[in-house]
Amino acid sequence: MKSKLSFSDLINFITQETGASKKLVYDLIKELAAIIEEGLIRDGNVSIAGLGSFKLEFVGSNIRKLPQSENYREISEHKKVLFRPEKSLREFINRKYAALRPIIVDEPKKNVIVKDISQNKIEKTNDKVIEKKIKIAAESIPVINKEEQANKENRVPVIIPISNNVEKKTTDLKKFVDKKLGDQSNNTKVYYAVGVVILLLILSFFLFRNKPEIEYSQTPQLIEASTESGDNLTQKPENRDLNILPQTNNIASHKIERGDNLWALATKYYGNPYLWPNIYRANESIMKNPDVLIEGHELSIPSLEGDSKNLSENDNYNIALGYLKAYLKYKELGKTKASLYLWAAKKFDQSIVQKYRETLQKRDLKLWAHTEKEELRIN
Amino acid sequence: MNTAEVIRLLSQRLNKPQKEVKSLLERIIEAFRKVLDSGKRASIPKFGTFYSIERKSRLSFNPGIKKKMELPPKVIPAFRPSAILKNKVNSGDENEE
Repeated sequence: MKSKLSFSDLINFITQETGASKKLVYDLIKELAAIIEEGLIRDGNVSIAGLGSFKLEFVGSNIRKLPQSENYREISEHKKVLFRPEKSLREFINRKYAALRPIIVDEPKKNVIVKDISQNKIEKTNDKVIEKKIKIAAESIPVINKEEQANKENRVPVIIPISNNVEKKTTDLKKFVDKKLGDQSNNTKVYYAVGVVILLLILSFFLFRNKPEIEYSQTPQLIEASTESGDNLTQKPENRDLNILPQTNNIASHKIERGDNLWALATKYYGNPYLWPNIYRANESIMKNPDVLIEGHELSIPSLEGDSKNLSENDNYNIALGYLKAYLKYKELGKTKASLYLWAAKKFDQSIVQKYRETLQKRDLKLWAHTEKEELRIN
Repeated sequence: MNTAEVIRLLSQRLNKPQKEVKSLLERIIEAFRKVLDSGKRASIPKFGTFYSIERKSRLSFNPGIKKKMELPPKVIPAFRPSAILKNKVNSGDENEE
């Protein structure tokens, strides 16, 4: 039991222990207390071997509520005397507990799993199918007789005891379903991964598809060169050189105004907007993009040999060439609609595509092959 | 202030050799330890009281291993300064200022 030792009792005890005189012990303890006090005031820290260290700690001013009343009291800043016992002293006092060590407390895991299933899994997923599965599985469990159980015990060491109530069975089944759910979640992850891979493949397909544009971007230069040597025109299309353009007379020159486009110009001068590549072909050196016209530039509008409804062979060739140039330009610009112009070029003049077949992209040529076959069938 | 300085000051004030003071101080501290071990409160007038606090075993959560643990009981030696010492410590500071 705890009891308080008075100072005289303490001195008596110490004199018995040490064998020194009472006066000496008294004086020493008094002086010791005085020295600690002085040391605290002077240094703020006094350490005594075998006992511990005394330390002064600064406490700032604060307001505290007085207990059992609504009044507050301000506590001014002050210093607090702290005592930190030495490790040897702590070990000496705690020697009876020295053998004891902290023990890990195991919690019952079964309850936790049941809670997880009943509250979290089912509530969160809100899936009625799971509950149905549990019910069906619970019903499908065969009720084993004691004799059967005894027979089976030899084969299978772990059997769900029949005496247990249905709840236990359902909990085990819930665990099973939970595992299944976990597998499903893994499967979904796999599906996601497969989806991402497919997307990447599609992207790479488009990238590789657009790559050859760089190769084909050189071809317009050839055609440009051909535009310069347009004087060497031969009238018969069979004898035409690939790089030689048919000569055409310009019917007019048009100064580009705000809101103009090739489609509109073709309708204005030819009466057929689909003949716009003829204008583009003649002005390719000025235009960097068939879709963009720069205000103030002058466009030369080449004349047609025939009518817009009855085009001559040369007209068809010119327009086909215009479509081909548009195709090449759009390829250079990386536009997906480029292959449409190749198809249009084919429509106007099949021979031009065959002549340029080597320089054209095989993929684009193949793209319209099936439509041609269908047309042949129809015809 | 460390133990050597305390012994030096004690020998000066008690007019005793340091060796004697040192051995006596060690024996006194040993007696103090025994008093604290017995669970008794030992008070020194105008200075304070030495006592020991018994802590019961308790459940605690170890964040390192993320498990609950039962900690064993232990005894903590403590010191409660007297009001006189508290005042002196704080007044001494004021006088310095």
